[in-house]
Amino acid sequence: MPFPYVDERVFMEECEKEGMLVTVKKEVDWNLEVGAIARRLAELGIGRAVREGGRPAVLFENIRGFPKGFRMAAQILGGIDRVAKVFGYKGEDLNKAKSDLQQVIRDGLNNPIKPIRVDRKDAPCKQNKMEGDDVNLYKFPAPMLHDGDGGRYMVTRAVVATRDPDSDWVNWGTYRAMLIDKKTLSGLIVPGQHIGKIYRKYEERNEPMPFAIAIGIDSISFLAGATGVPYGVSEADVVGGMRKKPLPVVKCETNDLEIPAYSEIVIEGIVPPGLRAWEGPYGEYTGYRASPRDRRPVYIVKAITYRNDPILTFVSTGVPVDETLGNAIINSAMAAEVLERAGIPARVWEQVDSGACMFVIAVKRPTPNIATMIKNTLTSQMGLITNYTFKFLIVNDDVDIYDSNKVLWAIGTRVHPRRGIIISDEVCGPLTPYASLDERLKMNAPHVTFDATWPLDWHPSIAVPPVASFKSIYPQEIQDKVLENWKEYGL
Amino acid sequence: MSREWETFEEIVLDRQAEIEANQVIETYVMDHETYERIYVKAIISKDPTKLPDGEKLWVRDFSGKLEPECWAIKIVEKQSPISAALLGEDF
Repeated sequence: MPFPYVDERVFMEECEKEGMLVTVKKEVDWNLEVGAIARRLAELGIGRAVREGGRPAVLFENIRGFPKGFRMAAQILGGIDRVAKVFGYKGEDLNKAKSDLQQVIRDGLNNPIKPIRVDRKDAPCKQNKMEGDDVNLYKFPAPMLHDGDGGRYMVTRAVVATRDPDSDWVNWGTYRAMLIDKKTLSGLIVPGQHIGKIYRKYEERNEPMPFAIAIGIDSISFLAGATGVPYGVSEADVVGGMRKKPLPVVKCETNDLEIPAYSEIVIEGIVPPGLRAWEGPYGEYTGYRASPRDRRPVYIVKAITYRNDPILTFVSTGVPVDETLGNAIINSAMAAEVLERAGIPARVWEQVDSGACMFVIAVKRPTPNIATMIKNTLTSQMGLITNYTFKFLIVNDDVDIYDSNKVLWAIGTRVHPRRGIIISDEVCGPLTPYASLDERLKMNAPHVTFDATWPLDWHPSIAVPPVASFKSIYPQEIQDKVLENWKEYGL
Repeated sequence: MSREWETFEEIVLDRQAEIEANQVIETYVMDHETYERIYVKAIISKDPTKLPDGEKLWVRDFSGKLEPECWAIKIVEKQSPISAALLGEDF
């Protein structure tokens, strides 16, 4: 089945045929072993395509203590080859996909397509059901991902669906959640996140918030949930826009939320008002276990539906790059869109090597105070993302923002220590590694903007130092000659 | 075979005075094998020899590392976390 994929199983099967996924038949342990394997794959692969030295996705078929058929999968979008494939990218130069796909995503954001509802009998996620007293989250191989995590994080690669009580808006977001017991999870719900804003409305009414957690969904839905789709916009519509076809969804058993029909596991229930449980710590995508244990909202499970031979997908988050690559492409596309609407044409890359903590922005036409203008535009219009992407590097358009070496070169050589570093007090997420414990709990810490653009009053041919690179400091005829004779040099 | 349990240092440090006085405290612990959380009334001792009929209690420090020596716990009463929470207990 070509793009767009509706069923993650089909996507994984195709990946396996193309050498981008390996099935592990040896018995593995849900307790740390699968997390360690996925983590090592991420650290060896660092987001590269398999053909360029990256590492494949992995499907575990034999989990200690679980019957045959209960499976787990990780690193599904851990390489640029899989990210390109999931968006149907046809280009040969996969590094170019980082920029090319941004336009695909912007088109999707600007042309949303509503999902299509299918009957329950046609939805694979309804093949099995547990309800009421039969609910048991331990039926699934929820992984203990890192030694010292607060619990087994069953929910890391999923979307959590909730409905705004004041409108028809349904939010799909990726929020971590860990098992408390058979029928209960606790998760990180940050007040500034969409789910946090929705939950607050229910709490103010002293009403429970219905939820549905869909695990093992198609990767575009996962990416949409993990990125900063604007407040009030349903991710399901954006997913339709990005896949250029409506996404099949199905209604839940115990509430009226709709989730992807091809989900592997769907957990439904309520988040009661005022109830809290200790949650965390958890090793996060920034590469640290930075968000401290805290008392956080509780998901009480009323029903679970799941496919035959379910696949529990997970991300063993940590030192970059794991599955942040796809999110980076979407966040970069959204930031470029926001800047363009503000009259600032720019290329944007959320630097995954930085733990997805830094936006690098190349401006075509710098204007006075461009760095501050960009930072203010993004923090005001993409607050959800800039709470977590808390560093900004603004460069001239000659810097290859997708090349980490060139980005470091720009920081090292173009940021003036006095006028090029701008510090501002902002809202931050609880995952912010450099913030003090108190700052993380209060979610308030400074951000920094690095202005690496050449000053506008520097004469371009006198004050701005010429770049000494092969492509810029030699006449064209010399470059051509060298390239033509390269093999004859024996090089 | 007796079960083993796990908790976090900051949870038990909050109750240090009661623990040292061998008093029954209310807290939560996790099953060391499944990590399932239960809410308990229990006596806890840092020195297992002082609680010979107790079960093993492994303690993680603030960074998440298990302390090399286990403590001991004698559980007097168990409740599910959600039942405890609905009664207003901290879980």
